[in-house]
Amino acid sequence: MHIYVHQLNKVYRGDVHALNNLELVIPSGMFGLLGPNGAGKTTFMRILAGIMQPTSGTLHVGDYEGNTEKGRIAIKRFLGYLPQDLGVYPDLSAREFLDYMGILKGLEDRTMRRRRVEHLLEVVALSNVANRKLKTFSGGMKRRVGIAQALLNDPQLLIVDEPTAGLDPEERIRFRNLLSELGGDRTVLLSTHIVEDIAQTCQNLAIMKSGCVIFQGTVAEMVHEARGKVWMVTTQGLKPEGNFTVVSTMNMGTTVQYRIVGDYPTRGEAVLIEPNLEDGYVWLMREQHLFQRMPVA
Amino acid sequence: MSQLAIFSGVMRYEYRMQIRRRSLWITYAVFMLLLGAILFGNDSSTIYKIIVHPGAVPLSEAVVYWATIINYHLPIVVGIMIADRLPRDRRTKVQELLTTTPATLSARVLGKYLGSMLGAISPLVLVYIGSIVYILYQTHNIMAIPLAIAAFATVALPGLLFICAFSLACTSVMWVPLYQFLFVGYWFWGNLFPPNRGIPTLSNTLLLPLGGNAAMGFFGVQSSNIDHATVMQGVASIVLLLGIATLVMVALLYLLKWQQARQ
Repeated sequence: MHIYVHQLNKVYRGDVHALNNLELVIPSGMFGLLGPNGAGKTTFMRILAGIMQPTSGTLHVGDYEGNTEKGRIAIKRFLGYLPQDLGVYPDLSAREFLDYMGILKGLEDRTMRRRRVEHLLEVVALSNVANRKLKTFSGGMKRRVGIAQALLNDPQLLIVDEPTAGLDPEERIRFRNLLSELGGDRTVLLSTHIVEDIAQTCQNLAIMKSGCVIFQGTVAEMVHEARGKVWMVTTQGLKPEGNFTVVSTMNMGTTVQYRIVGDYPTRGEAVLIEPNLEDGYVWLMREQHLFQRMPVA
Repeated sequence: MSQLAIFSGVMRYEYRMQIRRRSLWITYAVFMLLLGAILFGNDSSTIYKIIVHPGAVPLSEAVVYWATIINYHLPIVVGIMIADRLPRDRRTKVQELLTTTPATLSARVLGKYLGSMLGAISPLVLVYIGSIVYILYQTHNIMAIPLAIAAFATVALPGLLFICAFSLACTSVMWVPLYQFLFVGYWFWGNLFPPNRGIPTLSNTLLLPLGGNAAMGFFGVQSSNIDHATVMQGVASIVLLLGIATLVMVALLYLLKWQQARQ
């Protein structure tokens, strides 16, 4: 299933332009959406999920128009959504909450629904706490309930908004592994400002800034953008000078190593190194290339 | 995909969530203590005699009196407990998730309305059943059962549906504690305040949710400020209460759809 976004705009009250003529093509499989806070990622996700309507523009999800009421209802039938700020009913147990969500997603057959709930509780490793009330769950456990409810109706389109925000490293790895298994024929849209989440799970991605796409392509293409622009600078302690962004600083005892993205520094000796995805992101955010390539199917 | 199945499922879970609230049972317990003090505090009152010796009055009078007694103060608890059901979805942030499901707004809201209402009136119904069992025990008259069902359906239920609709709807546009405060005030003014004190009140009109028009019109029992009512007035009161409840729910659905579209 492909998603086509054409000239999508969203203007909030107070003339706040959250989306600015957004153009995007999302293929099936895992697709990453990167961008800083306030880039418009969550707004776009919420429009895609049918929570809000765009101010203008068109949105096609498979064969359905996301701008119309009829289209939105149709999309919701095969949609799974994990919001950034997941809400649950605290007095329900995990099992009850999933059963309730299953009912809302149209899983009418009680036996089939309960079987599906049990299966997903096993997938997210919550079977042994399924009867505990959700108010006793940690943040990571609630996130797992969140992904379970998103998968109840075996969705063709899965939207996951900042899924690892606030999770500890172990939970974050568990989540990434779970997400990696979900691609395939499904379209999984993963929105995050954590580059590592994308690097570990997605082949295609887009970067958003100020409501529009500044890059769309593969992970390899994004890394390539920063080739020739990433340097390792070693100094005695003084910060290097020049037109660049410092990505990391490592104190080696007598020297300090700086990883920089940008032009060769005017102070300090620099060695050109291979870029990674984060470097590509930093470079693009610096340069704000309005560059778009067709994604690899 | 059946919206009826979704409605039924929502109703079940809303009932479950309401009935589990500790605050529901605690509030009812406090009100029942107050009610008990009123009912049993004066052993020479008419109400006391009817409650303790239901065999001494016609069966319909005993049953209908109980239907009105449970409707006197306990619905205050119902109105207060329903008031936070919709705002709770926003507060817990479940609202966004619910909107992404194919369940229609009407199925969800109507399910919430009926489910949380049934949950909120369950303790009240338990008290009523207890009273009918006592009447059965005292009178040995099996007709108490169908009479009890008819009395509850005509005297108590329309008023409960009426106040639940307002409690669910008003808090979509009003702060919950403010609504709860105003609702308690309305209940005393609109139901219990005598009409001959110079201040206009609804307590002697067809809009009385206490069920006085039905009690008088259908059963000939005066249990409120309504001292005279015909069968037609009883019917009119029920139709009015249910009609207004329906209009309020329709207005609520339109309001929620409009709020959603404005996002």
